[in-house]
Amino acid sequence: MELIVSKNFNKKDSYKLETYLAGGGYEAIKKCLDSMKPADVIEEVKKSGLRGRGGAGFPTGMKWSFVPKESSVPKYLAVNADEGEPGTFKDRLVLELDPHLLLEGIMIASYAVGIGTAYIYIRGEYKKAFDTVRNAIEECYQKGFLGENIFGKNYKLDIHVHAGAGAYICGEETGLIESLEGRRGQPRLKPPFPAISGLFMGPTVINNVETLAFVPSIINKSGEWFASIGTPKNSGTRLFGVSGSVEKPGVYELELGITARKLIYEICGGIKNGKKLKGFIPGGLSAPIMTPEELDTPLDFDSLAKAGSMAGSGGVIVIDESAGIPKIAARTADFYAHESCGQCTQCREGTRWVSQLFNKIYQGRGRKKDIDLILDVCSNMMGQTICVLSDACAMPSIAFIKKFRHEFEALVK
Amino acid sequence: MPNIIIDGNQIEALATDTILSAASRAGIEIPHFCHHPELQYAGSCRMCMVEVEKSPKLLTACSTMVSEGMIVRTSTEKVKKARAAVLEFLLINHPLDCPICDKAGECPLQDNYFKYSARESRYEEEKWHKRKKADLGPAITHDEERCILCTRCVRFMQDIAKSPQLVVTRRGSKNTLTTYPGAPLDNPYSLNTVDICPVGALTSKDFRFKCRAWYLKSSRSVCPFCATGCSTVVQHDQNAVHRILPYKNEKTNGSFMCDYGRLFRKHINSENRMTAPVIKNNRKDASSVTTEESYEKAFVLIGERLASVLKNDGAKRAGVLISPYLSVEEAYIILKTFYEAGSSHIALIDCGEGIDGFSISDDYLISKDKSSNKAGILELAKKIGANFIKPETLASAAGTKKIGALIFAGPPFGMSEYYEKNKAELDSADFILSLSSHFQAPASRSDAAIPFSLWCESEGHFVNKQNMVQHYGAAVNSPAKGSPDNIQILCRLASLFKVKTDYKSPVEVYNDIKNKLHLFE
Repeated sequence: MELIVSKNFNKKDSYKLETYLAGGGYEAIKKCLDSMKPADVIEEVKKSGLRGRGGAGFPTGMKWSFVPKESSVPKYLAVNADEGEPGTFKDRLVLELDPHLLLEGIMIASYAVGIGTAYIYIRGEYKKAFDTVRNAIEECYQKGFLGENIFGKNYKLDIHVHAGAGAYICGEETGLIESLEGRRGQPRLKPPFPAISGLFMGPTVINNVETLAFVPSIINKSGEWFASIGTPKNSGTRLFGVSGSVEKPGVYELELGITARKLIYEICGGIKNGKKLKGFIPGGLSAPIMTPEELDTPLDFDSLAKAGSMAGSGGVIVIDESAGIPKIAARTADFYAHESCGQCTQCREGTRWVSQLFNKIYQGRGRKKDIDLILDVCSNMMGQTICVLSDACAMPSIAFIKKFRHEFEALVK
Repeated sequence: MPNIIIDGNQIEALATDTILSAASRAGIEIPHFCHHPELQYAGSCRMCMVEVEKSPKLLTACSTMVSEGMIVRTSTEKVKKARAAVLEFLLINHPLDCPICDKAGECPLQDNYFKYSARESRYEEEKWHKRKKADLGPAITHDEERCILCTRCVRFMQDIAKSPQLVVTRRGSKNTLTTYPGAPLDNPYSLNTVDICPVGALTSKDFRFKCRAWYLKSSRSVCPFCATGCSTVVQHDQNAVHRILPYKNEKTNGSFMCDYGRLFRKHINSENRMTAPVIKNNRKDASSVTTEESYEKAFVLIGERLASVLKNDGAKRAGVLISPYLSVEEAYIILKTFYEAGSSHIALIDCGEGIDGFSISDDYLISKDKSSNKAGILELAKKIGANFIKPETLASAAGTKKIGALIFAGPPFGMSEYYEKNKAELDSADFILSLSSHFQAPASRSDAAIPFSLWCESEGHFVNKQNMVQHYGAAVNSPAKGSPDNIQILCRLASLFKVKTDYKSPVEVYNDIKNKLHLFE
């Protein structure tokens, strides 16, 4: 299989502009500027079937086309590099190892949508990534790839980097916008949607790092080529970040549609120390856990949604037989209780309540009724709030109980 | 004009309506906490969620704009379950100390809970413990445990007071409302946040633990603090005023008022209030005897002293200083008396920086002119034909013995400062009479002082700076027991100057002003 986003990862000094140029870098943006109209670029991306790799899997070309062509106020691109979903560590590699691939993706997206300013919002803990991207931007300015008249053409683009300050919620797109504007990071009520009024009240596109990193190849090799990889409606490859109990954890670029069994047992060398698999979380912590019976589910957006889980961020967390689900559930709920911004009632109060109940059970102080109480509290938390953090706590919590109820029952009085 | 249907009722909404505003105009209640009609919506309490046809999820009524043909249902099973859930969530970290909470009895959280849930809590874990009396500023104490983080106060300070002094810090259920380090909540509009707080979290230091809300009786009134004339409600129990709140009036103050107007309460309940007429046998002698007299005897004595001072010159040798805090009715009798009696020494005090010496003013509610009725009194004088002399000219007239008798009419606000400034000249007058609410200079330095009711103890009208004539009623009785009302006192004074006025009540005076002067109709 041909690598697309990770093709440069193993090159020496892969992060440098000269390395990127030597590998044919910045040809796609030149092609756009030379011979493609913005609408052609969007059309090509639509043809590719590229879907957002941040979590929701929204079709990228369609997202770009929602932004009004004419706008009396500046339009913006906000790049979501606030990779905070537990179990997810794939964008970090793009940022650290191939920042120019991202920058070229940003240039193409900006050109397609008519954007003159882009911001990269990088997770605060990603110090190395922050420095690497900033240096790469500096290299581009020196070469005339950014700023006024980029690549000598009549097109202007500025890219800024912005470091987060340690809040998961700033990875939610409107929380990210609030944070970029210098306010407390909490999601905005929608409508208006960012495509109409987002950053600084301008029409705004928010794309994940990996998503944009696919764009140069799509322009170079065509949308049809990309659409031929993976499965229909789930085209291309993606970076799977595999962690937990496998022999070979790491980031792997694989075609969408690969089954969990193949990923865990072939690519990652199976469960660590020959243990048995208890379950796996297929798309970052907020994706409901799946059981060994579900190993043959293809790890793509639609198949996982059909199976009641989600492809999410592509972070696959593998859990072996020695781990206790109640403890994992407690730890999961703790995370969301800690990260809730606290503006919506159900999320602010519900995440903590669920965390208290899971901890009580895991510590042996729970009662049988607490198990059903968690399910009911979770049902009251779903689909009720401004953003989906509340759902992100409730969905995996429900799955932990529904699929491993016996483990909880064994601990309660 | 979008036509929408809420719970089966055809409603013609405004294009600018949200579901909640359209419903509330049609009399359909949608419970809410973070929404306030005068603030930007936050959509965060999630209490106002309703079912909208074609929308898979419940929508917040406070933030969803109406559109043609929209069909809304506000009390389906799904909505009821969501509301009960919100209430359960809100109460899990709420201390439920209603028995000692100031808000109890007028608390939206309490009311909505009984109306939309009233079931027993399933929460058995440890509640968060936060500070019960965080000092936010000079006027406000915050009970962090009661706060439901609706951010009404934050948005009020930001959008209405234009002074973003409040902020939510931390995150999740640890969220806490607070001020910025070293910057207390000291904006002159801060107490509005107590009114709009949907729970008992923000408490007024002036009202905290003083009285249960259900004992309070309310009387509509007008704020005397400045020329804006905010509509107010004076709340009282057992003849004590406990609280002054804004009353919604789009023409003057919207839903809010300033803190000074509210804290004016302290002047009503002051220990310094006059309770009976006071007569001094010799003002200029420090060892003179001061006695409390009955009204009848006091007026007889005042009549005798006036006669001996004025002799045959009558009112020509008398001067009067009028307070701009008098009602149009009170001012009318005084102006009429001294004009008809032939005095050319009538002055209207300029309160300058006002009651408490505040030089503050803004382009929102606090006017530069700190008096409640200057516009009304000026208008009356013009119509009657009386000319005002400057207060300083009045003082020199007393100093040069051009006049022998001085009358100070009205509360000491501004009057005290004037008296202290011009004491040497004013003290030269042979006879000084004060009609005053408080026993302080000049009343305490007069030959005779008669208790005078404050605005909330009598009835009348003020004219604000927009020339709006506003009526206020009596909320409580004057602390001077058995006192005649201000109108009767002024009529009695008029009779000493041989001016015939025979009014029994402020209403009769007002009718005369309307019918004879064609003013303030």
